Amino acid sequence: MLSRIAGNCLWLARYLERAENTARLIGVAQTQSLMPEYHGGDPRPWRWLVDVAADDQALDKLPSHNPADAALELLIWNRDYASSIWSCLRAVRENARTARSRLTNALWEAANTTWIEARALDRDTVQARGIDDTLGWARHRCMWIRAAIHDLLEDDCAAIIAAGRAIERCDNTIRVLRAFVPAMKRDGAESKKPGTPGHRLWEAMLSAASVQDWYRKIYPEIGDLNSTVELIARYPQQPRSLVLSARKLEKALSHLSVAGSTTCLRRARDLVASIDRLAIGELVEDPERLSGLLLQLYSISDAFGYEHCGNDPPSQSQSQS
Amino acid sequence: MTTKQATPATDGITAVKPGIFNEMRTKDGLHPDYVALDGWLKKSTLKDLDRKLADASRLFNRRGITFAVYGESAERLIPFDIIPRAISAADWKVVSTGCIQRVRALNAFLDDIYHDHEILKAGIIPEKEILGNKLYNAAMQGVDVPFGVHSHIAGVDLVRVSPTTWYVLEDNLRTPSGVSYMLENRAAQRRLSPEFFLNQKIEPNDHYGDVLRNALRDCAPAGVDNPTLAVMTPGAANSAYFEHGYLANRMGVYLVEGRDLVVENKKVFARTVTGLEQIHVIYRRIDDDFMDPLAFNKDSVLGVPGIFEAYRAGNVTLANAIGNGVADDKATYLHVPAMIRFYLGEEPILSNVPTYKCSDPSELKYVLEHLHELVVKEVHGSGGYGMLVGPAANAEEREKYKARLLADPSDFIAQPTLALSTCPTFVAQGIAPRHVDLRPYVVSGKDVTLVPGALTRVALKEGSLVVNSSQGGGTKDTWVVVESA
Repeated sequence: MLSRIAGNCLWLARYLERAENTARLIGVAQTQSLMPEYHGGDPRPWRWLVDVAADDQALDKLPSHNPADAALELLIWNRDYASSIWSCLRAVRENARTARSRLTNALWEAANTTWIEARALDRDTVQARGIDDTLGWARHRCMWIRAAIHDLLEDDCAAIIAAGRAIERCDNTIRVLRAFVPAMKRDGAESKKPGTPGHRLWEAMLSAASVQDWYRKIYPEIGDLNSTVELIARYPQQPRSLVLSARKLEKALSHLSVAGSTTCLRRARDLVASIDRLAIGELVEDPERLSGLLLQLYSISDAFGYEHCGNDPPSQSQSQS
Repeated sequence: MTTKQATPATDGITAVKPGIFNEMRTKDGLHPDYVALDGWLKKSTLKDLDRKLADASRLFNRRGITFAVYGESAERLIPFDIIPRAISAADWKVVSTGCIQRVRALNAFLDDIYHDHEILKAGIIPEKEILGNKLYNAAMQGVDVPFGVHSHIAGVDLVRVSPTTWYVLEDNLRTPSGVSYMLENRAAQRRLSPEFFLNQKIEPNDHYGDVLRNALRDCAPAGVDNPTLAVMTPGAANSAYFEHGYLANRMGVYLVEGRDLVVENKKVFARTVTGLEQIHVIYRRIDDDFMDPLAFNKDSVLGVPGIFEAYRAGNVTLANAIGNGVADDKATYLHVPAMIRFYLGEEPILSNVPTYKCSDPSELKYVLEHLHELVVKEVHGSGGYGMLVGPAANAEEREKYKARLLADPSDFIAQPTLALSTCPTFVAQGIAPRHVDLRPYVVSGKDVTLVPGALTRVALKEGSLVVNSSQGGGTKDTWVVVESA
């Protein structure tokens, strides 16, 4: 597979995952903002949303007055912000267009059709359609594209797409944990007591990490922060767990590293080891440990770009694209 | 588009202009190949057709069948006419054998002028017209290509002026585009109107990708049994990028840009995720000048430094070959019938349009006196740009063109304004006859062949003879009808 096309496939997968994550996270923040404890325009749901789904600069710019509107504008239809749903779906389509010769028609059509509809996303169309319906549409479209990805050959292309998805999932999961663990420690004292703000915050954490369907099937005690963090970070059967995503990343990179161990593969192995060593109690105690994992992830992404996509060598300061 | 539900769709299709051959309604009545289509149109209202057109637009949008126009940022859909064009099997036989004959002769000509110059030595074509042609590429002299094939993919533009008369308008031996529309038009037509294909036998054309793949594999460098193929594109901003990706996909080969390739030891390699992989055959959709900054245009960033040396060394096949422009410019076109006689010993099956060489003073005089009734074209022009359609131009336009003509007469040829045939076409006003041309794609490997079918381009403006997509033309599915309904 061409190195240049590898970059397109990687970013196709990353933006697809990002669009779906963002749609899910906005829905969670929207629901949370309707709870009585956040009445009166409390900015907290929008602040964690921007903290997880956007970059630090965006968070700094979030206005105290009407943060909901600013967050929705930024994350749904903003044309200039690379991680808005609009921009992500455009990037999915453009990357699919360039990589089209390596994809199936079904995958291309799914990406292209989604973009044709997404093009119209703006304040007016979202208001006319409703936020919930818009987000539902975005998530279903992402799932459709993802389903088409499952029919790709199990070759380099599929491995790269798997790597892209795994990187983005790790990134998102770490960010959810980094935002919610301190919030739960601060505001979630009554998380084990249904009907309380703390319990609702815990529910929001489950939904943000997309584990609301699993928690009660696995753990007997509701609202337990350590169990929640374990499910999100270390539960190996949980499809978005940090450990599973990191192992999938390692597996995808092993597939590509036929000529022996590469830097990005070694770094992926280090990431898996770091997650395996992670003590849940220590992580809850000191959520800043998660930032170290994020840096490890960035270094894998940079090495991947250099070794497989023909990018320039990464500079000393790691950056997220 | 405004329509009236009660209006029968067939209102406009009887419109036959005197002197213009209407392919559906000939002077003898409805052409047998259009019986099924006529029945369908009679049953349809304009609203039905509007709905079909909307379905077609959705389909083309979803599949991303777009083209870019220079100077415009957005991609456009090429207008697709939902009313197909039918060609009988007997007519197709003439067209296909004629095109094959022509391309065989043109390949023989290219191989000759880049080797022994037999046709020049025989005085069939004046030497200065070829060796002095700015598209003659001296660097190709002595370069051997597998099977002597220089034009692996040729698009022969034809027009029809009567039931039995087809003219070749031009040969495209460099990077003829549009074949993806031929294939996608068929796919769309089958989805939109499957009943047509149930009620009559229409030759499929879907195997074009495999025909091309086999031909390219045939032409791999000597000793390579299992060549790696690639389609080379200038990039996603190119107007035909959709087609480049489409063909790569249909053939199951790499779609590369110049920056994906590197030359080492006179061999061409692609940069892949697992290292360098040798590429043996490149179907390139980049002009000669841009292929290699070391050999041609030094400012090219689209090409691959050193690729021409690899080509000369026989380590990579370029399809089409370098230097084909000399054979498909409008001055050389005049000599194709003579080439057929010289190389093949056959009489041409298809005729050229009578053509005036403006480099000849007496012919120039005639052209200047009859500018109002001629079509004048640049010798090296393409895409419908830079031409004058005399009858459609006003006096001022003709005067301006005259000045250009006089400045360098050898850059122009002129032809009579042909009464291109028409086919029924669904336009804003309803169904109306519009002028069409035909571009079959001839593929040359060990054998020379073409799939049954072609791209029909249609001038959507009333009275217009310019069918190019960049100039407002559309396309139609083109049937070769084996057995009529």
